[in-house]
Amino acid sequence: MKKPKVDPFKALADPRRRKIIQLLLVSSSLSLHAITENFDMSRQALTRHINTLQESGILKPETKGRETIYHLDLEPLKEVYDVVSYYHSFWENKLDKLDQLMNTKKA
Amino acid sequence: MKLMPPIAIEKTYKQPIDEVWKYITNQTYLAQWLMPGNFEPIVGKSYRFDCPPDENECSDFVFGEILDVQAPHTIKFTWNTAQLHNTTVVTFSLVETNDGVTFKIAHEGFAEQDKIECEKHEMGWAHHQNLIEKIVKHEKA
Repeated sequence: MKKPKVDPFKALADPRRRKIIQLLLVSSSLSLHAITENFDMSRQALTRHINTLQESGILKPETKGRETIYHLDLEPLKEVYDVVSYYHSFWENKLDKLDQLMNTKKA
Repeated sequence: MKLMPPIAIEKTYKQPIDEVWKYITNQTYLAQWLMPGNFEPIVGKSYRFDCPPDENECSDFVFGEILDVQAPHTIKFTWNTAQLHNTTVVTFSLVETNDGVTFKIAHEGFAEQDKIECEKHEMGWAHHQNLIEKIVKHEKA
């Protein structure tokens, strides 16, 4: 996956952009017009937010006839760990948990 | 396929070896520090561990087979998850020392290209709500 222009977490920092995502989580795909109807702001201002989401990779546009339909791609929000460091901390946590368990419990 | 070097970590506990052995092989105890499942220290036996949903762990479940048991010193078993391309092997060993018992964990057989992905996007609405909330917290932190 190539690196997005905008950090996806930064893209979610704005409450209006989060609202766009919430709308799309419910409807799965929406036109710009449909998104605009949910906001009390200019189409131009909304377009800027949509562009930011698009640059972060979270929002994907699709042209259908004369309209652009937007849908979500939450892939950029996944955290990817390398398998060895993931399991290294996994087992380390487990060893600590075992220690706590054996110390608090009289078996 | 290129494999990664094994993971080897250890910790020393002051409990007697038989007690630690019980904690690392009996499913009732395993459920309390590792994961709940039907693990039994019997060679050839299959097991499955389910990740508790409240814990932020990535694999839905782990499954495998017991390869070797030398009570109360070593138990070796395979470890598979949906995210791993190949079967990995976990060895638990206990070594008595002057300070107590050293519990060693070796986990080997990871493919170099394997990555662990958390937050799967096909999990549905409730999960997405959670994810958004987490993100909001993340940015406040």
